[in-house]
Parts: sequence; C-alpha cells; structure tokens
Amino acid sequence: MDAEKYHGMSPLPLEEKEAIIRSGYGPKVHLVGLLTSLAQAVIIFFPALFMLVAYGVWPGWELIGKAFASTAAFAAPYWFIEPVSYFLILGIGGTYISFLAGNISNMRLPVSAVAQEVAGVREGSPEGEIIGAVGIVASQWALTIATLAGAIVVTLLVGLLPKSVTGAFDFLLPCLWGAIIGQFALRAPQYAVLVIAIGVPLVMWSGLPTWTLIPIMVFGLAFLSIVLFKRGIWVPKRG
Amino acid sequence: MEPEWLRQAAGPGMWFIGFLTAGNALLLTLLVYRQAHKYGSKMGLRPEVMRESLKAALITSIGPCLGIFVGMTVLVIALGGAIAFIRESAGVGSIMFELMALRAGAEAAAVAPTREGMSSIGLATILWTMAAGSVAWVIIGGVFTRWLPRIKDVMGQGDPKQMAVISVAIMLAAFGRLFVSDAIKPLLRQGAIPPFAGAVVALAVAVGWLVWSDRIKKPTMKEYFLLVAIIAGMTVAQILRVTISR
Repeated sequence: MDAEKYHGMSPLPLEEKEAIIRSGYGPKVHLVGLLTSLAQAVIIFFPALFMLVAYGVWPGWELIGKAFASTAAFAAPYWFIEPVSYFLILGIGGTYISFLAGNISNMRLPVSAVAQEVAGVREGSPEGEIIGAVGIVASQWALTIATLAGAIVVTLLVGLLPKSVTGAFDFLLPCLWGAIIGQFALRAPQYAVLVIAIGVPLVMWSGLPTWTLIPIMVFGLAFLSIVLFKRGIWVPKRG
Repeated sequence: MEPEWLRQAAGPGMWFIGFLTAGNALLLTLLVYRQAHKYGSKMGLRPEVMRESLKAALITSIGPCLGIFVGMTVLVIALGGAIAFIRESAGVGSIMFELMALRAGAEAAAVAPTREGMSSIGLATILWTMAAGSVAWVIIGGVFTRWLPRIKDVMGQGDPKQMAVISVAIMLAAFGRLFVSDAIKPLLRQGAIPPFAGAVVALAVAVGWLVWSDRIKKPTMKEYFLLVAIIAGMTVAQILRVTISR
C-alpha cells in the first residue's frame, strides 16, 4: 500500500537526492529566480510609467502616498508572512514563480499538492520539491492562457450567461478550500479535526488581526506536529 | 465615444506591457522547468512521473482558472482588458488585493471606480498603487527565498517522515484558516448556509473521489478530483441559494 501510494519516489538514497537539490537544482533556480524577480520588480511599474511617459499623466506623490498607505496597511504583513509560511509547501522553484506571478493560495498551493499526490511522491521530499515546481510551472501556463482569454472575451460571455450559472462562482473559493482539506484530511484526519477546532475560535472570537492568523496556525501546527511526532503520537503507521 | 482614460488603458502600448509582464513570468517557468527536468532525471524520477504530474497540474488549474476568469470581470469593466491581463497573469492576482488597491487609488484621486467616473489621473493613481503595493512580494520572494531552505532543515531535522507530517499539517493549517473564514464564519455570523454546504460537499466529493480512485486502482483519476469536487460544491451551493431565497 505504501509502495503504491508513493510509487513515484526515486530509489536513490535520501542523502544523494538532497545533495542534488542543495548543490545542483537549488543554486541554479535561486539564480534565475532572483534575476527574473528583479526584472519583474521593474516591469511591475511599467503601466504607471507608461501613463507618465506616453501621456504625461502624473498624479503626484501626495495622491500616490495616500493610496499606497491605505493599501499597505492591509498588505504589508503578508509581504513577509507569506514567503515564510508557504515556502515549505511551494519549495524553491514554486516560491519564485508564486511570488512573481501571484495567485498563491487559490492556485499554486492546490496545484502543487495535487501534482505531488498524482506523481506519488512524499510531501517535503526532494522529489516533492521537483514535482511541486513542475506543477506550479504548468499552473502559470494555464493562468496566462486563462487571463488572456478572460481579458478579451469575459465581459461578453458573462453578459450572455444566465445569472444562475455565473452566481455559482461566488462559491468557488469555499469549495476549493473544502476540497483541499478533504485531500489532506485523508492523510492526517486528526490534524484536520484539530485545525477546524482551533481555527473556528481563532477566526471567530480571538479579535486578532487577519494577517496574524496565517503564521499562528501554520507555525503553531508545524511546532505541534514536531512535538507529537517525536512522542510517537498521530504518526502514520505506514510512510 | 470611448473615454480618454479607457483608450490609454486599453491601447496597444498597455497590451504590449501586458505581454512583457506575462512573458517574464513564462520565462521564469521555462528556466525552472528546465532545471526541474534535468535534476529530476538525475535524481531518478521517472519521465512518466513528471509527465503525469504536469498533466495533473494542468487539469487541476482549470478550476482556479475559471474562478479567476470570472473574477477578472470586475477588473475588465473597471480598468479595461489590458490592465486586467497584466494584474491577473503576473501581478498579485488576488482579486481582494486588486480591488482594495483599485478602491484606494480611486478614493485618493477622488474618482469613482466606474467607466463613467474614472479619469486619467485616477487610472494613473490606481496603477501606481497596485505596483507599489505588490512590488514588495516580488522583491522579498526574489531576494530572500535562498535563505528559506534553512527553515525546512530546522523543521525536518533530517527525518523525511517528520518532514512529511509537518508538510501535511502546514497545508491543513493554511487551508483550514481559509475554510473557516470563507465557509464556517459566514454560517455562524450570518446564517449563510450555501457557502458552508458547498464547501462540505466539495470536501466529501474530494474524499470520496480520491478513495474510489485508489480502490479501483486508477490513480490517473486523481487528476480530476479537484475540478469535480469544486463543480459539485458550487452547484449545490447555488441550488441552495436559489431555493432558500424563494
């Protein structure tokens, strides 16, 4: 059963596989990731700069400052929390693509998880690192085609489709979370129950800012799982 | 006649920038894929395993892409197709962030974020806000990722089984928080049954599909579990919404 579940794992010793990631894959991906990210940090300003250069439209620092302050108040904590919180799931290649191109929780995380499931590789393993990255690469290609199609035709299509169909998409995100919870609940049902038991009072009644909930739950559960694993509690019997 | 701001937002220049933005992201994916393929082979990953995961990822992406496709409507209507393409293909992408930045920029410029109310100054303010608000993700992700593997070493302590347990726990924590916020909280706060019911149906369908795929020994069926679960959940949620509102 274990061999079937993890049918995609490589027979090489773990030390050898980790060495390949550490001294081969990792440095190369860090280099291309850094360079393309720095390029993207410049490109991201092109639409605004285009308005200035081509049409002479400049709102002034005061307007930009006001709008930025309002946006940063919401987004700033996530700038730091998300890379650290999600890296363990996304891996090296997946992190660079995800933070360059966005759509992390609604697309990159689920796609990485499913790619590893189908490939039959263990999460957090060197194989998981490679397969997760392959999955996220595929997601970016799909996303580019979808957003291009959306930009060109979406308004027309949405105008023609009945509201009863388009209304269903209001529920896409809760259904996505439910499906992924289901996938991982099969691996660790006790942790799934614990997450909901802790998550409900934390989200509903703790009064904590939303941006604190991710690190509290992610790092809290990671720490708890280490402690329980070392005590032999809730350790999967196989794998 | 098309307003001037819309001609500026949806002209060939902005579309060119869109292809440049998306193109840089695609370049990164090509470079990462090349390394993943090369070192995956060196590691002993079989070619069919990598092919299957690529196919599964493409199929899995359909569900979220449909959501993004529909969510883009607001951006397309408010800012035109080119800017929606730029922001959704390789910007932050989160509709929540994009709409917050849109609103913040429009408020600062004292314009309404509508086709009739928008102006060139409003558009430019929004574009500067979106860029400044999201560049930190790109820089922090791009510059600091090389040190993040140390976190993984500390967590896993050289034990692959420990690392696997931690990885599953972290996934559950990340998605559990979102599940509680989007499905359970609306039920408890506003008595909103449809999102909760949809999420539970999606969870049950996902579990059933995955278990059934293993039982009938057809692992390739797992590629479709997410799409099937999401469609089942959304359908039930929408039916409930229509039924309850009657």
